[in-house]
Formats: sequence, structure tokens, C-alpha cells
Amino acid sequence: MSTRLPQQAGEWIDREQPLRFSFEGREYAAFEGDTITSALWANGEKALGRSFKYHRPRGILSFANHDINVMVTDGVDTNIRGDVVKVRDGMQLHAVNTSGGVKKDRNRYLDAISALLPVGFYYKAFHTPRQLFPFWENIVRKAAGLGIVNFSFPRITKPKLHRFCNLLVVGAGPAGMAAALAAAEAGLQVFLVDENSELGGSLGYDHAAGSESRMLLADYLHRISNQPNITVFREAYAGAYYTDHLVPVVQSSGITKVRAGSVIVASGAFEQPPVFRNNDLPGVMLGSAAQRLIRRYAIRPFEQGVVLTANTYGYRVALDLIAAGVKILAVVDLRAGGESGNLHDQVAAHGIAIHRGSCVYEAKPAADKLSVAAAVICAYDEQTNSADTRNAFEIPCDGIAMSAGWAGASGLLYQAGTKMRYDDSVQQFIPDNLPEGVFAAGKVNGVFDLQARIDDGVRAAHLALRHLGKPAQDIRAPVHTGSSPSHPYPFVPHAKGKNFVDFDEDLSLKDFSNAAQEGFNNIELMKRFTTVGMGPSQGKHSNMNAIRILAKIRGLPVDKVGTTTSRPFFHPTPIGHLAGRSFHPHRQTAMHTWHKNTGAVFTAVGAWLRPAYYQTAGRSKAENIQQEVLAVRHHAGLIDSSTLGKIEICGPDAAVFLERFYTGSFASQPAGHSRYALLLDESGVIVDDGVVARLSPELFYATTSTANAAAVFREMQRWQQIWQLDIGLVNVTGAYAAMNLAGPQAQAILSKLCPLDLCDTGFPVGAVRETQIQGMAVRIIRVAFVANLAYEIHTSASDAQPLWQAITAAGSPLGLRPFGTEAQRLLRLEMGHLIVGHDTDGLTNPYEIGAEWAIKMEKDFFIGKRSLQIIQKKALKKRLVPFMLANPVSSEMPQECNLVIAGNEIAGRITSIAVSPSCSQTIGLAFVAPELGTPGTHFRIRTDSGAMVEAVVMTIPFISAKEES
Amino acid sequence: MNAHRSITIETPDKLYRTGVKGPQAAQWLADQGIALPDNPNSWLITHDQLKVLRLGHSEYLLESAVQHPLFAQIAEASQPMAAGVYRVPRTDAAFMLGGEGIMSLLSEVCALDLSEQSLAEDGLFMTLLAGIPVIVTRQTISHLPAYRIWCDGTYAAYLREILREIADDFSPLCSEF
Repeated sequence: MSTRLPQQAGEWIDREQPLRFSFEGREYAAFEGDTITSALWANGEKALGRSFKYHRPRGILSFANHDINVMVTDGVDTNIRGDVVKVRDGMQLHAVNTSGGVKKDRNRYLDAISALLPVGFYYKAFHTPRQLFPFWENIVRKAAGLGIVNFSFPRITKPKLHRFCNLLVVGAGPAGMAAALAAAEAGLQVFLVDENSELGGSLGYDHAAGSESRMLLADYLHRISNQPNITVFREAYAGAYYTDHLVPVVQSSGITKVRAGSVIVASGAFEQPPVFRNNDLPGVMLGSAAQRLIRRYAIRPFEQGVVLTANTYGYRVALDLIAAGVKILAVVDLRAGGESGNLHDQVAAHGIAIHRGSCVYEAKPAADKLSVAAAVICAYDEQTNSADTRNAFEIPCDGIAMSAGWAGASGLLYQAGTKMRYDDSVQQFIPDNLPEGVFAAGKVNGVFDLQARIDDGVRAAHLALRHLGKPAQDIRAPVHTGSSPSHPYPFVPHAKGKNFVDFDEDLSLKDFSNAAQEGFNNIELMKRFTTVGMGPSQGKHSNMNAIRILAKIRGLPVDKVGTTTSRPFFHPTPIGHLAGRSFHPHRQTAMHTWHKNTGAVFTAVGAWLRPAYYQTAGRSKAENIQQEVLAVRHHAGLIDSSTLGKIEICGPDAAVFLERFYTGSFASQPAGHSRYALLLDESGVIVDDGVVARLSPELFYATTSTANAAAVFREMQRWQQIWQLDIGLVNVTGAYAAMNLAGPQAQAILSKLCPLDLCDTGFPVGAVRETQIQGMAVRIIRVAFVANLAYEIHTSASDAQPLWQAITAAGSPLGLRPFGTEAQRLLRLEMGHLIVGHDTDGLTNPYEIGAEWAIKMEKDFFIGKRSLQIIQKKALKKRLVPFMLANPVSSEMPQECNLVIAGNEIAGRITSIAVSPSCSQTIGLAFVAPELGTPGTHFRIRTDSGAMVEAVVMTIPFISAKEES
Repeated sequence: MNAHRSITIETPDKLYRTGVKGPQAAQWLADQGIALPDNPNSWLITHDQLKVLRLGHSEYLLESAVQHPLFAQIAEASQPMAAGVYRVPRTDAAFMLGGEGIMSLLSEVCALDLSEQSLAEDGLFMTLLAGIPVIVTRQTISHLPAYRIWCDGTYAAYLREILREIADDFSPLCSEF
């Protein structure tokens, strides 16, 4: 049966665009612009989903993006919110969280046994016996959650944009529109954000059968469309508030990070459900939901029904329902005094019975339990919050509209640091002390009268103007008069319960009293024990009522109970939106193209792309790496080391700076020599290591590890700010390239290219020389990281590729081949060298790696010295040792991070391990307990499968110079 | 030049660059007859078409379409070049971004407001673009904004790739009256 109303002005559907879709296997007609919910409701469907815990049938509650019991899947995406997501032609939809469909959900039996599943049941029931926990866990995990995550969901890149404005107005209701217009007309660039597809807020649906709101809305829309200073974001929600007015605005297409000069929060208020038995039956809905159905989608919410109210708004709802052709059988007002004035008279003029001091005691379900069939009405005592059922009577109906109060949509205000207070005149938390540049207007500010909301918006705009240094008027804040728009305690106890407070989590009134009795009687504890507000709607329809219940239980004013913390995001936001495009910057060395053309397989090292190894035809990865290692050991290899951090420290105080920065001694370092440089943080933990070469009395050239290059330079700058020495720091990491020529033939190759005396006495380990190779200026450092004979050659990035090719050409006849990072790691392991960050962690101090030799404690100061003075007095807890497997690996190779076991205790872990082709052994480095650190000591390694492998502590290097030939 | 809808991404022809920094860098450059921007984070073009960018207080990036005599002088100088004057080798990559959709592209890669309200034509920003450090200047060409971007040359391929990717699939997010 269609409940679609005749065409009316302002509706959001396009009747010229009919479409069809299916829900639960049945076909339905709809119009372009319909949401899934509106389309189904127009077709007479009321049971649209099942509740999370008890699988009770649910329909419309708020119809405002918070009906989380009406979530559907289209087979690809899940948890699609039916109340706001527009239906598309051809959609095939099914409700989530059912077994067998909405109407015949096999899990509906849970409702019948709900008394056995009270709040806290899970916490208590499955602790013992422990061995049964996996059984229960399996059941609970299957029952938990709503839709089923589709792990094949395509990755659709959502952009994250940055935009800027003078003023961001959140909410395009009357207050927000008035604020935006006032500010824009004064010259501000304004962004106006609203979650709906059309502007206007309540002006679009709250008409009380009149035309004033509609005309006002038309006027606002016209003015906004002609105001060039206003940019409108529709179907967009302000997801969070961050410092300095940074607000991410979320749309289906992505996130726009808006940086505003000022923010006006005119986000309105969420209507709150009164609590009575079966207030969740399909057909029982909030009054504003009924109005939205009527005005936006031209749908009659029900045929004949009851309006339960506790404020003036309920009478406006009644008038709108009457205008839509609904037969209103009664208006039930919780308030003993009821309503007086024009609205009351208009309702009464329709001959409708108005029951003051009464309540809906319960909603009675139809035979199939899928809709409401009647409302039971009885007297209600506001003082005791109790129903007197002696004269209860029943009104057959197919709908109940509820209007008992509001809670401000104040999430952003809380996040901004607003101090809120509970205002008894409106029974609502409202801003008391707003942060600088943040303003509130309209219902969220406790202002409910239409003209007052408009005035409040203009007032907020002038406050924003003043904040931005523009001329502004002093406008007095509106003061609420008349009855409260919210009832202080709209709860109707019922012996049989099922009077729901939280529709997300199926929490009823008794769950809260039970929680309090268990001792969870503060709002944060109660939230966690009951899970109130922890469902997808995040408490937008339950938190305020939960606070009221707790206040009642504890006999405290609402203000004293307080609220829970509001955290970003204000509304569930897809992870894909948060991820955005996921920028992964990477750097390429000057030789990148050469590597690529030579078969390099690249790996990311820090921000760099480096050749891991070079693929040659017919060889596996392992074989290629082994061949590269053997080339370095027996001939020569060339690796691109451009990724090393490279920093020039120059000036009269350069040596002084390095003395303070690193642990070693540099003041005495002669020009032409390099030294190992170990960097600690102030707690004595190893941060980085590298080499510092002195090129002249006032020029040092330091290298850092690839991964830490930026961090080390940043630290140098930071310390220079503190020390104020006469130096200059020049980061030449990108401007200079480097390559490492290593192996027994390295000297012979280099001698073909440069005129230097390369013999061991003329160019010993640690020496540094500046010269030219084929006209290209180079700095050469004699190093011994991957081989005993190696030269690190540095040049400008522009000369790097020709230099690389020159060395390659000179070395090819002598067996030179390029090698990558995989071979480099193995080669340095054979040499017994650790890699900071790989063989150390965020707690490793120099004594644990045996680096005492690199520390000059006699210096007056270096970073971390004071901590080392404390650390060195304490016993070592671990020591990095070289080891070799005692026996050849027959089955499972131990891996890095496998544990070292002594007795039955964990005594360390493997940091590096590899099969050495040079040693024909499996070698590695491991942290072990100090007592296991003596060469010759055996220890065991537990592999991934649990097998134990014997290892023995060795001395380094694993290979000697004579093994390189 | 690669044109993507209304966004253009150009790589300028070969340009020569060098840099100097240090507390005495300004005086040293002035002594060489180089006109300098008065304010930090601004730039100018000298009478002989040398582009001088002042990066912060005491660092200068010099760029020219021809091999300016000063560049060789700096390259051949020892380090430090003089008391309080240090050579900064520059191997930047440069891009020129333009077109009607350029602000949309920039809004995705940069958290700063690069519009004329924020970035003057003689001003420059040192900021992050798509996660990497860059220098940005703004010009107006044919009544449309155009941006010069400098980044470390090792990031050039990445930046070119990401700019092209965004330019290819960019679509405006906001609906505007």
C-alpha cells in the first residue's frame, strides 16, 4: 500500500524520475531522491531491520542519519544507512544482522530470552572455566557486529583537500543560514556546511501546518544563492574540531580539511525519545522524523496514531500529521499542566482529545510483532515519574509520534574545549564558556523559538566579525521564555521492561539501574559497563537520557553527573576517507635509471628506493644475492650509497659542535682522516651512527644512516639553536651522491681512474682524500664496512652517473659487479658490523653493543653522557653477540626476532641471521643475557615452529682478510 | 608539457642553481653586487635575470637560465667561503604548475593557503607538498595563478608522478552556488 502524498512544494523527490530496486528479494518502486528508508516506507514496509542484540524488528526512529537499526548491504558495501542514503535504480538490498531476513530472522528468539542476557552478562559469564572461552568466543564473535566486512572491497581513493575561509558555519538551519548571510554580507568568505542534500534544517519540515517556515526558507535560499561570499557544502558533516579552527568536512567523495578564521556551530539538536515499553516498535517514531517523512518525501507516516509529547513541539507535529491526512486519535502530554496557547487551540479545534498528565504506558505490537497495533494510555505523575494504570485505556493505532525533548548536537563544541552547563530553563547542556573564535547559535545554544534562532545566528556572526577584527554590532543573546522544550525526565517505568533507552545497543531502563547497583554509578563507568552511546549513533539519542537516569538514581542534579568525552570523529567516517590518497614519498638516486636498466629489484629503505639485488637471467633471488656477495669477497662490487645522510659542518666551531654532538673525539682529528661517529639521545640510547671526515680545519663531512638522515640533521639544527656556535650546517644528502667500491680488486680498479697513492700506507683505513676522477670532483673515504678493502666515493649528484659508469667500465674486466642492499647486509654481517635500528632498538645503550671504545667519557660534555654515567654503574641486562649455528640447518632456518632460550626462560633474541657463502655457515647477531656472551658459549634459538636450534657465541669478524681473494 | 584537463605541469628548461647561507651571506652577496630581497621568505629577479630567493633569514637560492659568473665563483670557493658564509650545493628539481584547476590540485597536496590572499607574488613558502619539502612561489600568468615549485632533485620523479596522478583523477568536492 502506497502512503505517498500528492506532490507538494519543497519535496526532495523527483517524480519525473521513477526507479526500481529490491529489498530482501522483493521489488519496489521509488523516485529519484528517495532514501532507502523513505522508498520502503512509501511502499508500506515498516519493519526495515533488526536490532543489534535482541534482533527486535525496527523501523524509523530519527530518520536523520542515526537509524542504525536500518542498515543494509548491497552485496559490496555494508552498513549502508537506509535513512539517509539515496536509493538508486537497480539496487539489490538486504538488511544486515539478520539470519533469514528481516521478517523471519531466526535470531529473533533472542528477544524472548533477553532476560537471560542482561547488561554485563558477557563480562561475567565466560571467565570460567577458561578452557571453554574459545568456544564462547567463537559464538560471541559471530554474533557481534552488524554487517559483514567485505575484504574484497575495492580501494577507491578519496581525496583529502585543504580549504580556507574566514568563517565556517556548521549547520544550515535558520540560525546557521542567518549567521552565514550576516557574515557574508559584511564581507567574510563563508563556508556553510550541512549534512542534508538541501539547506534549511527544520524550516524544511517543521511547519505546524502553516506556510511561514516554507516562505522564510525560500527567501533564505534565494539570498544565499545570490551571495558570492558563501560556499555551500551539502551532504557534508563537520566531523571534528582541531586546534586553530581546523575542521574536517566529510562528504561521500572525500574529506575537506577546512582551516577557518572562526567557527559558528549551529548544528541544531537531536530529538530525544521518551522511554516507554515497546517504544522501538516499527511505527513508533520521533515527531521530527514524521515531519521529515511528510515534507521531504511526501509520505504519510501512518494512517491513524497518537502523539506523545512533553513540549510545545509535539503540538506542531500533530498539526503537520493532521495536514498530511493522518487521523490523530489523541495527544498525550506527560506534563500535568499540558500546553496552552495557539498551538493547543489549533489541535483542539480538530476535535482531538488531549490527555494532560498522561503517558503512553506501552505500545502494543501487531500479531506478527512487526508493527505497532495500539497505544496504552494512562495517567502519569511527573513528580514520581510513575504511571497509574488503574484507568488505562487502549487506542488502536498504527503509529505513535514522540516529542519529549532535545539534546544539543554539541560534539564539536565539546571537542573545541567548550565549557558546558546544564540549563534548567531548557533542560539541556548549553555552552557556558566558548573557546576563542568559536561561537554557538540556535538550538545547540539552547535557543528554540524560530525568530530567536535567527537572531542568535546574526549575533554569532557579529561575534565572529569582531573576532576577525571587523566592525561588528553588540547583539544581546536571546533568553528562553515559556515552557521548556525538553522534559526533565520522560521515562515511564514498566514491570515488563522493553522500554528502550539506547536503540543501538538494546539497552532498556532497568539495565541502567542494574549497572548502578553493580557499582558503575559514574557516567564514564556506566557507559563502559552498559555500552550506552557506544553504538554507531554514538549516543546521539541515548546519552542525554542515560545522564538523566543516572542523575535520578544518585539523586544529583544533571549538572553534577556530567557528560562523557566527545572525541573525533563526530560521526562514523569510512577508513578509506581517513586514509585519503596515502602519500608515500620516495627518493631516487642519480643512478636510478642505470639500476633499473640493469635489472635492479628495488626495495624501500627509509624514503629511498634502493636496489635490493640485481636480477640476472636464470637465477633465483637467493642465488643472485649470493653471487653478489661472492663477487665482493673475491673480486669487487659497487653499491650505490647515495642514500646515506650527508652533512657538512663548517666554521670555526665545527669541531666543538661535533665533540658535543657525537660520543667520540673530533677536536684532535687531523684533516684527511675520518672517524666513527656514534649519536645518542639524552637518555643514552643509540640513535644513529656514521662517519665524520675532516676535510680542512673548518670543514667536516659527516655521513649518517639512510633512515635517520633527516632526523640527525634536524637534531643538529636543534642543538645548534641551543648552543649558538659559530658554524654552518649544510645538508647535502640530495646534492651529493655516493658509491662504495669494495673487494680485493677495489684498489686496482680505482687506481685506473685516479692519481692517488692508494696503498695501505698512503691511503689507510679511515683516510679521506679529495681528488678528481675524469674531471669530476670526488671525496674518497677508505672504509671497511662490507669488506676490508673498500672506498666510499662521494661526488655531486650531477656527476654521479658518469662516475658510476666510469668505475663500472674500469672494474668489469676485474670481475666488478653491482650489488644491492641484500648483499650489503650479508657482507657487513660477515664483517661483524651491526646496523643501528636493525640490530639495536629504542632502548639499546652503547655498552650493550660493546661500543665502549667509541665513547670518550673524558670529554666535558656530549649528548647522553650524563645518562651513560648512570647506566655504566648498573649491571648489563643484555649484550649483542655474534653467533654461528652449531650444526648445519637441516629443516627450519631461524629468523630475525626468534627468541634465545636459556632453560625455560627467554634470554634474548636474534637481530640478524643469514647463510654466509663466504663462511659456508649460518651466522648472525643476537641479544643475549650477559652470562651467555662469552665466546664459545652455547645457547638455543626457538624457531617459528617451536623447534630448538643450537648456536654458539663467536668472535668477529666472521671472515678474515685472507679469506678475501 | 603535460596538460591534464585544466591543470598544466611543466618542467622548466635547464636552469643553473646554487646557494649560500650563513649570518654573513647577505653581506657577501651584496658585496658581489647582487640585489637581495628585503624580507625573509621573498624573492626578486635582478637586472641580469638572476632569480634570488631568500629562504628564511640567512639562506639564499640563486637561479639563472645561463651560467652566471657568480655560480662558478661559488663553486670554486673553499668551504666556508668566508667567515659566516657557506656554500649550499643545489640540485633542485623545479616544476611550473598552472591552469584553471591548479588551486584544486594544490588543495589536495598542500595544507597551506596558497591563494593570493596568503601568498604574495614576491613571497615564498617553504612547506610540504605531497609530503615532501618544497619551496613555492606564485605568479599570475594570463590572469591565472601559476606556481613554481622547487624540491630536492631526488624527489623529482615522485612529485611528478603524484601531481600527474591527481591531475588525472581530480574532481572538485564542493558544490558552489
